[in-house]
Amino acid sequence: MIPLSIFLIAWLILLGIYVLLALVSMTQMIRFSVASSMTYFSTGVFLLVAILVISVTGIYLMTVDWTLGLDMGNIFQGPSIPL
Amino acid sequence: MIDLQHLPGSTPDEKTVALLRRHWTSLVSLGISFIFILILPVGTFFAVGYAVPEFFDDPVRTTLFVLGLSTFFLYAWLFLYQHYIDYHLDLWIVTDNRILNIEQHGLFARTVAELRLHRIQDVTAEVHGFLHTMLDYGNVYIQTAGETQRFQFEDIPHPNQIAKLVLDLAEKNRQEELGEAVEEFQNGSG
Repeated sequence: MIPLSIFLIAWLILLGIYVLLALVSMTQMIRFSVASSMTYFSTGVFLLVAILVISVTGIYLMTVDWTLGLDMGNIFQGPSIPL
Repeated sequence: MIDLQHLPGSTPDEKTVALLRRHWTSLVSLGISFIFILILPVGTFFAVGYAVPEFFDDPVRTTLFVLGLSTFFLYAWLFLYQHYIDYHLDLWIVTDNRILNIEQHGLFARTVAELRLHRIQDVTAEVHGFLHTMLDYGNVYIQTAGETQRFQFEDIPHPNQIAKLVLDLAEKNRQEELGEAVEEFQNGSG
C-alpha cells in the first residue's frame, strides 16, 4: 500500500522544478526579445494558463482525503481503503 | 530587451528599416502540438472511462489521474512556450547601415552576427515549393566580398521584396561611403 501523500510530495517537487524552468524561460524571453507587445502578450498568456492549471489542480487537491492509500495489486479493481 | 531605436553598437543616426522573422507557417508544428496536448488528456479520460467504467469511482485513482494530468499539461505547455521562444528570438534586423542576424539555439545558446551593408556583393531570393510560392515566403542569401559563407534569411515573408530592399540599401550605403572617402581625400589634399 502506497500512501497517497507520497504522490502529492512527488507532484510538489515536479511543480517546483516547473516553476524554476518557467522563470528561466520567461527571463530569457524578456531579456533577449525585441521590445514589442507580442513579447508581453505571449509571456502573459503562458503565465495565465500555467497559473490557471495550478490553481484548478490546487483547488481539487484541497478536497482529497490524504489518509487514503493506493493498492498496486488492485489498481484497476475495487475502491481504495484508508491506511 | 532589444530596443529597435537603440540597437547594440549603433551610430546615432542609424535607422531600422526592417525587422524580419520566419514566416508564420514555421509555427504550424507548434499549433499541431498544442491540439495534440489538448486532445491527449481528454482522450485518455474517455478511453479509461470506457475501458474500465468504475476507474474514476475511486478517489485515489481520480487524484492520481488529476496529478498526472496537470503535470503533463504544465510541462507540455512549457515545452510549447520554449518552442515559441526559439521562433520569437530568431531575428534579422535590417538598418540603413548593417544587418543583424540574431539566432537563438535552445534556451541558453545565442548567436549574433553583423554584416555591414557596403560589403554586400550579391543578394539572391529563393522561393521553392508549392506552399512557399502560394504564401510568398522563402530564403534570401547574401554574399559578401571575400567570404565564401553566405548570410541567410530563412523562410522570411516576401523574399523578393526584401532582396531588392537589401540591394538598394547596400548601393545607397556604398555611395555614401564613397562620397565620404572622396570628401576626406579632397580635404586632406587641399
